[in-house]
Amino acid sequence: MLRSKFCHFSAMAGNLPRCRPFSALKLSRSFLSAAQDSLPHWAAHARLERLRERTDDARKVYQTVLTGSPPSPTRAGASQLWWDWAEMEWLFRNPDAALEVVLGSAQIEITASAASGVMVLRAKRNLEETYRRSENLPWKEREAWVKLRGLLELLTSSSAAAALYTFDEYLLADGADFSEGSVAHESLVVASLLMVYHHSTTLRNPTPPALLRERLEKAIEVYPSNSVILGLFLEAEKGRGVWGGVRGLLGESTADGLRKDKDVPRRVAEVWVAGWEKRRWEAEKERTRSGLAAAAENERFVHFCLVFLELHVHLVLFTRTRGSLIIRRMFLEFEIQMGELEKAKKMLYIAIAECPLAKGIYCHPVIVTTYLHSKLA
Amino acid sequence: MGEDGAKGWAAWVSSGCPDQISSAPKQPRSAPADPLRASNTAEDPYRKWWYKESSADRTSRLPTRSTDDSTGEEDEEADPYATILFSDNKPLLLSLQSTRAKNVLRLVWLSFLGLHIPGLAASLSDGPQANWDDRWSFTHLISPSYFASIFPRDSQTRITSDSQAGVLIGREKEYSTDFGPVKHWSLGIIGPLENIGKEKCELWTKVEVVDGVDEAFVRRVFEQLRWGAEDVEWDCYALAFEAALSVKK
Repeated sequence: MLRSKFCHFSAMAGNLPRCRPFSALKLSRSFLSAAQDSLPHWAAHARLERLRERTDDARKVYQTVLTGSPPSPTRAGASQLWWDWAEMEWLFRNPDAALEVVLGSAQIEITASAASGVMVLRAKRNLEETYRRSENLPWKEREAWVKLRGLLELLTSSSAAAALYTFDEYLLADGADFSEGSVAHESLVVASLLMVYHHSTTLRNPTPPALLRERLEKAIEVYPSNSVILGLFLEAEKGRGVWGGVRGLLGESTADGLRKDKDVPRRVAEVWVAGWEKRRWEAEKERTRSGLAAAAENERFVHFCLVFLELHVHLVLFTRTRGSLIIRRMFLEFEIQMGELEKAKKMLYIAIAECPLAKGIYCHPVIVTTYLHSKLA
Repeated sequence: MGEDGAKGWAAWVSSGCPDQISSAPKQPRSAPADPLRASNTAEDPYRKWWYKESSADRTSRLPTRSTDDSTGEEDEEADPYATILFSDNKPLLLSLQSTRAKNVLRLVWLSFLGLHIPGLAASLSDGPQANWDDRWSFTHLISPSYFASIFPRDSQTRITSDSQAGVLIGREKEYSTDFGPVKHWSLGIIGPLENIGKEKCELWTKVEVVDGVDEAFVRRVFEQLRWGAEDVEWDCYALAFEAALSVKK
């Protein structure tokens, strides 16, 4: 069915201006030649065009695959293609085109010059119905329908708050679809935050800053290691005039009297965050040092959480970053960058004691030259 | 996996389990460009040795064969510990039957090769308490290219305001990009080819891929471990790898 469409693209490829060869596109065409009906492969091809900033070529892919004879909404890859196209038009400041695409995904065709209220209502109902009927699809595909629903709300009401309430209907609903702590829940939280971020920051629509900030503070409590949420948090804190929010992020926080654990990627990201605002790196070096020290010496806590529910006793051990080669090596590099070579040497000996088989530590040139100098002295 | 001309165990068994396998002539290992090496070429032979060792750790993935001809090579290439015997590996071999297990193995292999897949380690166990060993999944964080992107390059002063005619004027705050070099999220949240909208938050950047990875080897791994035309997830990783190599900077 898509064979003729593929031939069309092969012909287009021959007409591309001579530029630096993009081997990824060549590879993508070879995949498509063997799987011309595979919607996810077409989605990947369109994304590659977007990475090259060739939105016209990406648009041609979407139009070729999705209009004319649109695929069934419950087919694998269909929702992702619709979402990618709608998102692209929206981010490139074509809200009318984005709205048309979203309505198209809900099988509503715009007949007049603009979408009427009735069309929008029917589209909302269709998208919700499609989500309910797609139970057998993976969560990522189902999530695309929710994102389309949220984008429809945003485009028609121009209110980020309304879009967030739409997401909340799914995030807070009972049931196993998006239960808190699950991968699907985390993904939908990230999607909702990104939508508000793009609406306010990328597209510069007036939005109350507290809307995103409050959501981010909650999200970062639940998903502290997610680097996308961390990046959005930094953006929300930008220009607040106080360093308090970010300082709280970098410090050690507690919950119910117990120190909260941070894992390795979060600790390493915090080292980078200290230098995020230029000219603050020096000022934040003690905080960075104490963060790395806390990670490296994370004592073995034995938490007894007495859960008086059916008389079960719950025992949890926290040792997430103790003995971590990554943390020790990062700490060592930090001291070398700060010029504190004496501390770096002590850090090196501790690191060898804790991670004796780590080649990255015992082969470090500092220890080799230090050892040799001490032998020769 | 990843060796030129590798056909897999099934092909070896079906060809009658030959003792000697004729393999493609061994290609000389080319040291990948290391951005820090240029600044440390100088006098200290121990530093030079350390850079050579650490870059070999990152790029020389295949063990040598006992049948490899070592004549004519430099002494330092003839490393007896570079050959791994089957008797050492035998107790560690396990039979993976399910599709998920096989998929995880090849993704773990990509991680070992230096292509970090966010959330892979955490997805393999039920809770964070079971994930104690971060060496195989987070070693990329201590590579030279990551250090260069995490630590600020220029020296920064603490001065945040200036005085002009007795009036204190704060300096304009400058920020770097919001989305830093560390990428971590649960597996599958951001796909290999997805961006954070217009922000360039590629899964693998050109610096990570060119400096820390043997391109030809990784291409062969992608080709050899592909499961056919419908293997979308694996194909997306292959495309992300090629895109990282060919993006203009």
